[in-house]
This record gives sequence, C-alpha cells and structure tokens, in this order.
Amino acid sequence: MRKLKSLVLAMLKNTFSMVDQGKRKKSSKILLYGFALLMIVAFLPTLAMLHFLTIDAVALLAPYQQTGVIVALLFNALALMIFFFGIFLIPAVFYFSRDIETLLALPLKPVDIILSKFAVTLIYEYLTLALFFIPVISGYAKAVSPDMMFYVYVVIVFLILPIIPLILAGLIIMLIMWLIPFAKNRDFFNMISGGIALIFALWLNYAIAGLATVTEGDLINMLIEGNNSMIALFQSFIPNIPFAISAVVNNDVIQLLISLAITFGIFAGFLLLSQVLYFRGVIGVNETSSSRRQLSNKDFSNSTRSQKAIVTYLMKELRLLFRTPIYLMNCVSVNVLIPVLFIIMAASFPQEEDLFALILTIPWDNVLAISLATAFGVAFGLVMGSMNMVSATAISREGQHVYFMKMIPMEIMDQLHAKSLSGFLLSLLGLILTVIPAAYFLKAPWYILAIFSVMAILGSLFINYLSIIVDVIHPKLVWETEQAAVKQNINFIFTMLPSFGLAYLLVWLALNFEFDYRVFAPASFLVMVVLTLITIKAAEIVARVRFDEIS
Amino acid sequence: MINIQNVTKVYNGKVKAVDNISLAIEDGQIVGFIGPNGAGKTTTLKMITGILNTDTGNITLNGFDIRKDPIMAKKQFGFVPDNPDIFLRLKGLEYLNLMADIYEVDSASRRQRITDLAKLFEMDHALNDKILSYSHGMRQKIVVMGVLVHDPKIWILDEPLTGLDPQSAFALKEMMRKVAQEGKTVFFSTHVLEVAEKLCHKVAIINKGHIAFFGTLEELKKDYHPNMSLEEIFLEVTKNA
Repeated sequence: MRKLKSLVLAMLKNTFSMVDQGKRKKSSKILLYGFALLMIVAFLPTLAMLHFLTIDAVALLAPYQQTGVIVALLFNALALMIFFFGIFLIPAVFYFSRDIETLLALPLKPVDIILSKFAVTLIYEYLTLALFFIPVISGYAKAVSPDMMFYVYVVIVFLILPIIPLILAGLIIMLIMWLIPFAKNRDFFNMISGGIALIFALWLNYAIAGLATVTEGDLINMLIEGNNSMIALFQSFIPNIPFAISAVVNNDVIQLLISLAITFGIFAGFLLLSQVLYFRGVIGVNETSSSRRQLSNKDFSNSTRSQKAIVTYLMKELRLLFRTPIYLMNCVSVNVLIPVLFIIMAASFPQEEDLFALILTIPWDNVLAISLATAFGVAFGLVMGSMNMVSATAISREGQHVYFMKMIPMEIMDQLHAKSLSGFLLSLLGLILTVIPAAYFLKAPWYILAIFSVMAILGSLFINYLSIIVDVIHPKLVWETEQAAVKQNINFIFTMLPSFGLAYLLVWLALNFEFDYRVFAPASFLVMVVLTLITIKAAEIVARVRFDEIS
Repeated sequence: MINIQNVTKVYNGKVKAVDNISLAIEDGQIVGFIGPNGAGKTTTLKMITGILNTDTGNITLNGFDIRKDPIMAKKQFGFVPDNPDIFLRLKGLEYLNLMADIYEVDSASRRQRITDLAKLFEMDHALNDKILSYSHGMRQKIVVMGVLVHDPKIWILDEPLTGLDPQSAFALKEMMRKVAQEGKTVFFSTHVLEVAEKLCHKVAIINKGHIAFFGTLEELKKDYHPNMSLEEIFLEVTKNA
C-alpha cells in the first residue's frame, strides 16, 4: 500500500505540477495575468449559462413531475464524455507514457502500475467532470430544493460516475493493445488503435441505445404519469448509471448502494482482467520498426530537393502530428471524426425519411439562409480550429526541445506561421469533409456553400492564430508524456470556450435579428478579416515579448 | 570567431550561473570548454546560441551580435546539443533535409554532403528509418550530421562525443581538426580531459560561473606544475577557484 501511495503521489506530481517555465519578466507576468483574467471573464458566462439553463429546464419540467430527466441527461452525457475521453487518455497514460520503461524495470506487480495509473487518470477526469457537473447540479438543487441527503448522494455519485466509463475504455484499449503485437507493422497499428477503439465504442453505444425503443404512446403515458417516470427512458451502457440517477432523483439509499456495489464489482473484475491483459500489451510498446534499407538513387534525389524553409517546417509539423499516436488521436483524427459523426448521426436517425424530407424543405432562397450560412460558417471554423488543439499546443508539443526554435536562423514569426498553418490545414480537412456531404445531402446551392466555406476559413485562421498566442504566453513545456502536452494542457480551454461562445453569439445574432443579408454577410466578412489581421499582429507582438523568456 | 564579453546570467534573480565571463575564440582554433557539473558550461553554450538571453554583456559570432542580429548570427554556427533525442518521429533523411532547408543549402551541395557524411558515419542504411529506431549513438550521429550538412563557419558542440562508437568519435575528431585547419572555429564542452588534451589548441576551464583559466595547455601547465597531468591540474583549479 505504501508502494502504491508513493507511486500515485509521484505520478500526480509529475502530471499536475504547474512548473513555471523559467523566469518571467514583469511585462510578461502582467500579460499572463491579464490574459488569464480575460479568459476567466470569457469562461464564466458559459458556466453561468449552463447553471441558469438548468434552472429554466427544471421549471419547465416541474409541472409534469419530470425534473429527474435533467439528472438522467447529465449523468448519461457525462458518462459518455468520460468514456470517450478515456479512449484517448488511456493509451497515453497506460501505454505511451515515458515513465513506462522505468516502471517496467521496477519490481512492481501489474496491479500496482494499473492502480496508480488509474488513480491519476481518475483524478484528471474528476477535474473535467466538475466543470460540467457543478453548474448543472447546483442549478438543479436550486430549483428543486432537496434535503441534506441529496448532497451526500450527489457527492458519492460524482465520485463513482467516471469509474465504470474509464474501466470500459481501459478494457477496450487493453484488448486492442494486447492484439497489436501480432500485427506486423506495430507503428501503424499503434497509431490506429485509437480509431479502432472509437469505432468499437460507437458500435457499443449504438447497440445499447438501440435497445430502448418506445412508441409515441408509451412516451405520452410516461409524461402523464409524472413521478419522474421518464428517467426510465435513459438506458445506458454503463450499468450503474440508472441506479445512480434513481438514487439522486428519488433520494433512495438502496439504489445508491446497488450503484456502489456494481461499481466495486466491476472495478474488482477490471483489476483481475487487467493483470492478465496489461503486461501482454505494454511490454515492447515503444518498439518501432526499421528497414535498414538504403534508398535508391532516385528516391534519394527526390527526397533531398531544396524547399523554402517555411514549407519544410510545415511538413515537419504535419509529419510529427500524423506519426505520433497521441497527436494523431487528439489533434488529427478530430478533424475527420467530427464530420463523420455528423454523417453517422444523420444516417442513423430513426425517422430518416422524415429528417431528410425536413432538410430538403430548407428554403435556401430565404434571405435568412445567407446570414445563417455566414454565421454557421464562422462558428464551424472556430469550433474546428479550436477542437483540434493543433495550434493551442504548437509550442507545448516541442517540450524540452523548444530550444530548437530559438537556435535556428529562422524568424520566430515564420515558425509560428508554419505552426498555425498546420492547424489551419487540418481544420480545412474537416471543412472539406463536411461541405462535400452537405452539398450532397442538403442540396444547398453553391453560393451558400461558398459563403459557409469562406467564413469557416476565416474563423479557422483567426482561432488558429489566437491559439498560438495562448500557447506562446503559457506553453506547457515540462511533460513526461506527449499526452500531457496535449490533453493535460489547459490552453485548449482558453481557446475552445471563447470560440464556442463567439460561435454561439454569431448564430444567435443571425437568428434573432433578421439582419439584411446584404449587410450581415459583408459586415461579418470584414469583421473576421480585421479580427484575423489584428490577431496575427498580436501574435507577432506577443512572440517578441515572450519568446525570449521561454527556455 | 566567437567573442564573449562580460557576460552574466542569473537564474531566479539569485543564482549566478555565469558570472561576468569573457572569452575570445579565434578562427582556426579548437577550444575545449571544461568544468565540473553545474559549473555553467551548458548555460554559456545556450547563451552563445541564442537559446538563453544574457543578463549583461554581449556575444558576437563572426561579428554578428546574437541579440541584435540573431538570424545572421545563427547562420554562422551549427550547434550539437547534449541530448540528441529530437524529432524522433522524423526519418533521418527528413531531419537532414529540414536542417538543410532552414540553412538554405542548395540541392546539389546537400546531396553530396549527406552522401559523404552517411558513408563517414556509417549511416547510409539508416537514413530512411525513423530516428526513434536509432540507438543513442546513431541519434548523436544524425544530430552531428544535421550540423555538418550546412557546413557552418563555427561549430558549437555540447558533449559531442558522448555515446559515439570509437570509429565515429575518431571521425568527428578528425573533422574538427580539418575544419579548424580550414580556418573555422570549434568550441565544445567535454568531461573527457584526454580529448581536450589531444584535440584542443586552447582550453577554457569554468568553475562556479567564473572562467578559472583560458589559454593553451602549455600555459596551463606552466601556471601550475609542468609534471602534473591535465586531470590533476583540473582538480586543482576547480578546487581552488
């Protein structure tokens, strides 16, 4: 037990230490604090919005005695979120982290490594969970005024909520990693393991969600019945969730105990299984294939052609993003997955004929359509550009090798352009993968797609440069795993939340004020061009002030 | 030529890692930079290469100030860091090309140099593999090749021989001699006193951030005791400083 405690503490210190990256000048400190303040100001409204939205929703459901639906929705959504995060997080923490080779050489049982790694992952997930859990549950509590026991139950549920989703993600990953050694090209399989896991997870989710089919009549009966009967609708592939929902909504201690028992049972099973699975996959995980083959003269000649430094630098960024499994999963695949998820969702919609009929009735010639294409375009660019985190972690990913950026005779701004461009190009991939199916399914006219694309490009350029600024101000350079450079990097919150906010604002403006599109579209275009140019200039200034101190 | 004038570096406002040092490393010279762990060697090299800023003083490389004219100053040198684990997921050849493009080496010259260097360091079969698959010594070689591919006028190397096999270490030392004869500057840190003794025209001994000695080995022996080995003198210098 003492061994385990030391391991967990050491890993936590390594993972969460907020090591200040060298000495900062006063001007730079002011810049950093000012920026943090600005981001908190941008961030708080999103949380407040979530809180007040919950209060409104509870008020809306109260007359039907269905307020429990909020709790059911929250728990299910969060469990699903933790599960998906787990799919990305577990390979990084359990398999690709740098400490693995050190740990494997120590006289530790698999269970010690698994428990300590699990604890670190769990604590990280609690932090993410709290961000959404607290605003919603506090809103719910405010609206329904529960007794003291409610809070006790809620705390317990909060603690057990991420355990089973993480275990499920862990088991899927362990199975895949165990099977990979049989594959010839390990590098390649290591890279696509995340993709395989995600497909498996989607299938699982789809298969289980498919079990809950209710007719319209059932639905109306449930609604009329009251007494939070609708929470029964929320089938979950996480077995303890329905009991946890019932425990919190109905103040039922028995349900809570069942939920706890399921959690511990599954946890024990996981420990037993992982003892068998973990070492089989993790030993030799860092092996890489090499051909030791001499290049032919033609290949050599082709691959040694001189190019502009900025182009080679951009290629370097893209190669590293595509070839590093953690970056591939977190930064590259997102651009493909988001459009693919949209398509899957559209394709698997139960009443697809109705949906398509509805979509085909979109009045593209309506004046609002152009304004909406403008707003949604920017929103799409902002969301894609911030979701992939390429630019928000561009400096952080350099880690201890950031010295390379300072050592070479290449202007810092040129390097930052190449880095932003890599993020932008990947967002562009997402845009192309969205626009082509949209043109096919939605039958949108070309000018709507063109407006959408141009605005998305502008939105993406803007957010990529803004992300670079954030990362130059606050790079996370001290890390043990590539995973930490990307996922345990709070920079993405600083860019994602404001960009979500801005995206929401634009769409809201377009919907609520029926602006003349002849004004709204060009005005939005101009605003975005100016904003992007200002951001690029700001990146230049920030790089000049801050880059000297990064080391 | 590397000119370091009254350079000081203070960490966290308290610890003086480098304290008012001055060194002038002439063209055509190989200068060894020796000192105990934590004496300020790497900090000095990082300041010369623009990775760290100086707190006071200035550094010029072939007349270009590293702070005022960083791009021109950086074009003068090639730097081999102490840790070669960089860009592990690039292939060896991709790394060499990156360096060649950054230093604007034309296609023909880079092809010739890469071919020659690959033969010299016995890396011709490994260039198409990812650096991740290389041993420590091979990684060291590819980083050294990345510097040599742009044929810099000044070589700055931090522990360049660590991890190299005897053949490659010999080849690198021979190259250092050859470029020095061509009038280029070589400045490198090392813990191996024998190497410094056999290779260097001059040595700079740094201890606790101060330059304890800078001159030829003959001068050093004259200052201390003609019969003492470099090791004994080194221990003496760093003890008394």
